[in-house]
Amino acid sequence: MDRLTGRAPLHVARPEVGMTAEKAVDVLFRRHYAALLRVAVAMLGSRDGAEDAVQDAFVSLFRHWDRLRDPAAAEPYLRSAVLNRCRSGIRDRIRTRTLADLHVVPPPVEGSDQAVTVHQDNQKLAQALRQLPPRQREVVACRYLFELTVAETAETLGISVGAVKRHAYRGLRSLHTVLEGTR
Amino acid sequence: MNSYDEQRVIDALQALTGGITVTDNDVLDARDRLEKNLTPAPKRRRMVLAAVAAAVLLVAGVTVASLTGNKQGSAPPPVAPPPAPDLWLEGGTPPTAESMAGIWQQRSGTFTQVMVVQADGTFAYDWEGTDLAGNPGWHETLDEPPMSGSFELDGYQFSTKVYRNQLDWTPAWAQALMPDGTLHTVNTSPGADPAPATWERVEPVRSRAFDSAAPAQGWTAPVEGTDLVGVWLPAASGQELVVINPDGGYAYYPEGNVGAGHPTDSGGWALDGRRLVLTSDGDAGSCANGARVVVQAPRLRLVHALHGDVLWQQGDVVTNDCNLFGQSWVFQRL
Repeated sequence: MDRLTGRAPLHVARPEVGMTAEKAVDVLFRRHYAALLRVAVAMLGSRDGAEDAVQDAFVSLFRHWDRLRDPAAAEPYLRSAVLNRCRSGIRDRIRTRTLADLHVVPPPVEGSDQAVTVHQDNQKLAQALRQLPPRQREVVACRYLFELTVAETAETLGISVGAVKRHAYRGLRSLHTVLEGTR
Repeated sequence: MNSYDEQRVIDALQALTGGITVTDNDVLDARDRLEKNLTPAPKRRRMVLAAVAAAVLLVAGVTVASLTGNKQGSAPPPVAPPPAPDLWLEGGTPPTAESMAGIWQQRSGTFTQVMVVQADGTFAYDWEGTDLAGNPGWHETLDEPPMSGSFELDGYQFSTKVYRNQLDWTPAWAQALMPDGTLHTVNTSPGADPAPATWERVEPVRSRAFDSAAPAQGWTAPVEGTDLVGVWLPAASGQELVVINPDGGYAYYPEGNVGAGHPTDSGGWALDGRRLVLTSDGDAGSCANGARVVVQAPRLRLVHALHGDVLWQQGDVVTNDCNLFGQSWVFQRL
């Protein structure tokens, strides 16, 4: 227990059977918040929106804790919930056509030509990621941002292993085209 | 794309998240915010629970009164639908699995929700409302619905069992088929907003809501190909659906086949200047590989309607190798 906060320390491993929802969510929050937030920022291009998406996912997990089949399902649930909320956020932005205004990547601290070029490339990549078809985007996020295996990605998104491979290939190919276009 | 290129893209993706700083203080601040969010059910939710409880009591009261009447030797009740459990359902009849089978759509502003009901007691529901309606992702919805499962009908009550996103769900609502062919629903899941809703039937018989005529003017050319993405219903006749997907594919579903997921034709589409070109891959067997439909000057028109916006598409068919779509190219987007 953390002496200052009275809560579980940040290195606590995983929720266990018999934990209360509050305790389990606390454990999961400390373990996964940062990683979920990073992916949500990359997906949404907005830190505020990403924080809201991750908060919502944890609130939803807390409210549905008794419906989880197994505490081990909590992590895939959280990843999936964050992706769903990112999808909704992107959909809203597509409607209002403000996608191009988003800036996911902080501007370079130094003003060198190389730093500016890398920054522009990253911006284009981030924008291209958000413009992928949803399933491709979510598969790419699971595989390369959450760094899940093909099987874990399939379970998280509720699709077949073959579909994961197909969407991952198509997604990477589209992003590669964008990267090539910046060269 | 070779493995070197693939790794380069993966490295670039991972660099995106690597540049986002999350400090311990950020985590603690967010944890404090979460704690505030984990509050008991708000007043609105309690009011909804009270309304649902009142509806249950009303049904129970009516049932008891009916049973008491029978004990006193009164005439057997006439064959009539049982009393509707909600004012929103009055005037309708409880549906059967057979009468519900098909595709239902609910429009609300720019949102569209879609429910595919099969007579065998299974159904799929477009959870977020727009996956089937012009938003990229609808095609996966047809193949892999985000929420699907089984249902049971007991009078007006529609109870479901679904497994979605690691959770067992049992969404339930009361519903009635109305004389105009629409389906009225009231959510009865504990704690949920009752949200009275009207669903229009898309298949196998289309509701009158789809009978409106295409607007005469105000059409604009699509800015980009993705403007054409969606599930399109021919306005003139038939019950077909034409699906234009964001990955560059299209599929043509004849009457009743969307739920089963077997298109009559499929292939690729491209917006080539002022022409929309659909080229069959021949996989479905109805059209030869390479058969083309060419639509000159495709154009769009958004119509604001009382029960939600309707997007129309129109164009002039100049080539139709397979004769699948007919010469009239006028559609409403689902």
